[in-house]
Amino acid sequence: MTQDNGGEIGQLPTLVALSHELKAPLALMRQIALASEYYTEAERETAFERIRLTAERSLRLTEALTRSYRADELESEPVNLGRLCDEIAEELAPLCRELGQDITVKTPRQSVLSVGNRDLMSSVIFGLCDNALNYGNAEKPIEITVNRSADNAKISITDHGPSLLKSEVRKLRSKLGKSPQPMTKRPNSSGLGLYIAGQFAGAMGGELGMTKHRAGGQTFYINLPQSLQMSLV
Amino acid sequence: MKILLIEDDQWFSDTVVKVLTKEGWKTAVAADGAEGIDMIDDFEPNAVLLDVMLPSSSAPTLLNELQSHTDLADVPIVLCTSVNTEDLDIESLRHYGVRQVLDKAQTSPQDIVKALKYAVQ
Repeated sequence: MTQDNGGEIGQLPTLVALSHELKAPLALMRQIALASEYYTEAERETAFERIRLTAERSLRLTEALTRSYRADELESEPVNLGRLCDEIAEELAPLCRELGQDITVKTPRQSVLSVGNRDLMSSVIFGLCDNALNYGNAEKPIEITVNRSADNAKISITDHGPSLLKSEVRKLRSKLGKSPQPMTKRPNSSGLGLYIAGQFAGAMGGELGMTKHRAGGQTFYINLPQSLQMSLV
Repeated sequence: MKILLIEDDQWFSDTVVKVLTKEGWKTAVAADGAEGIDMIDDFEPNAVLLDVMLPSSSAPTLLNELQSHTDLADVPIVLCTSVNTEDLDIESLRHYGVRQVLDKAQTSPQDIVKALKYAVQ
C-alpha cells in the first residue's frame, strides 16, 4: 500500500474523506436538535423531518460503504432500471421537497433491463442523486434518464448546479472510481460518493462517467451491460 | 446588531438565523463567497459568521477580498465549520479579522451567539 499526494491509500478511501462525509451531517443534526428551544411547534416538526432526512442520507452512505467491501460477492439478478429509478425518485421525494428541489425520471417505453445486484445499483443511483441534490439549482429539476445503446443500459443523473472547473473535470474523469476527489465548486463533498459509485459500477461490469454542461451543471452517468434477452422477455 | 451569515448549507443557516433572530439581531444570508461580498456593502453587518468550505470562493479567498477593501477590513469574522479546526492556522487567520473559530460539531447555538457578541466588542 502506498500513499500518494491525493491522500489515497491503495484503492481504499482515506479515513479523512470518510470522517468528513460523516461529520458534516452529524454536526448538522446536532445543531438542528440543539436549537429546538428556539422553534415554534410547526418549526419543530420541520426540524425533526430535517434530522430524519439527514440521518437517512448518512445511513445510505454507511450502507454503501459496507457494501463496497463485499461488492464482488453480491448476487446478480435482472433489474428493470426504469422501475428502480422511479422507486428511488419516490423515496427521495420528501428530501427533495424539504430542499425545495424537484426530481424527474425519463424512461423509454420499452423496459431497460440489466443484470447486476439491485442493492449496488440502488446505491449508485442514490449516491449520484444525493450529489445532484447537494449542488443542484432549485429552479431546474434534477433529471434521471434511463436509456439504452447497442449493448449498454445507461442511467444519467443531471443537475444544473455550479459547473466544475475544466481541470477538475479532467482529474475527476481520470480518477472516477479510483480514489475520492474533492472539488472546489462542490466544497462539502470529498468525492467519496462518486468513488463508491465507480467501484460499484466496476463490480457490475459497468463504468461511471461524467459530462459537463456549458449552461451549468453536470451529468454523471453509469453504463451497465444491458440484458437484451431479458428485455425481450 | 446585524450579522451576515455566509453559509451554503441552507438547513444550517435556517437554524442559525432562527437563533440570532431570537436574540433580536438582524440577519442576512449569502450562499457563497461572491454573494457574501456583494451583500456586505449594502447590509453593513457588525460581524460575519463564515463557513470555511464554500462554493465559488473559499473562506481564505473571501478573507483576502475583505482585507483588500479598507472599509470592510475591520468587520469582525467568526468562522464556523465542520472542517477539522486543528487543520486551520488560527494565528494567521487572526490577521484577516477572524476573532474566533467554531467547530459545528462541538458548538451550541448559545456558543455562536457568545462568539458573535465577543467578536463585536
